Amino acid sequence: MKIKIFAANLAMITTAIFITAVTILAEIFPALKTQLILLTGHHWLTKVVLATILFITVLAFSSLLKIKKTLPILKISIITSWLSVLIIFAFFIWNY
Amino acid sequence: MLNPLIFIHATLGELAGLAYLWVFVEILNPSTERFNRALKASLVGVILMWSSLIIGGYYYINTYSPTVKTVIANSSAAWTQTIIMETKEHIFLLLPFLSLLAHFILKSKQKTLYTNPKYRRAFLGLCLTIFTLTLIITLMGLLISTGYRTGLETLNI
Repeated sequence: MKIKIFAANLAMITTAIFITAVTILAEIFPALKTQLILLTGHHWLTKVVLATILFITVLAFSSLLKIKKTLPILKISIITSWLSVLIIFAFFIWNY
Repeated sequence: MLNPLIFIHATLGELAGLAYLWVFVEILNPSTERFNRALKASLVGVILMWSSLIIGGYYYINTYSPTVKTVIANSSAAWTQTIIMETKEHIFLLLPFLSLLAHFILKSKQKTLYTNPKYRRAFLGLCLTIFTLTLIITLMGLLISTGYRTGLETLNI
């Protein structure tokens, strides 16, 4: 099965943004964290499950797009991942 | 007593990082043989990364969250839990997906990696990202372990 690389990159970017957003929002809004806990019993496990579902879903749907140029989105994937790391780290320093 | 799951989780993660360093080296100057080795190393990297996630996650949910976290949080090294562990447990989530992305690219873009130096450089950047993040996460793990030891000393255990 050949994976469309544009789709894989889009899935990566979406997942990185989701992980960053849900991490920060769950700390700011305790009600969200409670909902995450209710889904699987642990907020972290829910984040893993949701991130995996999101990755697969975006990969599947964006595979329908016929975009062959993948260098720009690969660079965006890498940059988004690093920004996620920095934003999450900065948030927890600020939150401390 | 040292929980073996920490050792297994950390070892799997570090080996996964090394797998992508291996991919990086092979793709610097690709040939058919080097490419095939890179593909195998990448597949091993994906398996190791997801295994590390599962084992680390099991330990985190069943042992760290109920017991270790409290010990650290009530010590002078509470920052290792509140900043380092909180960061680590979330940024680690990126790595299994990054490893999948790298593997997909190797499987689907062989010709491009050979013929397009800009694309190859970007892919090498992806491999370095995976390796560097693994190193960072390993160092974070060391800090957290130190925080736990500090907490145990506080409890005089």
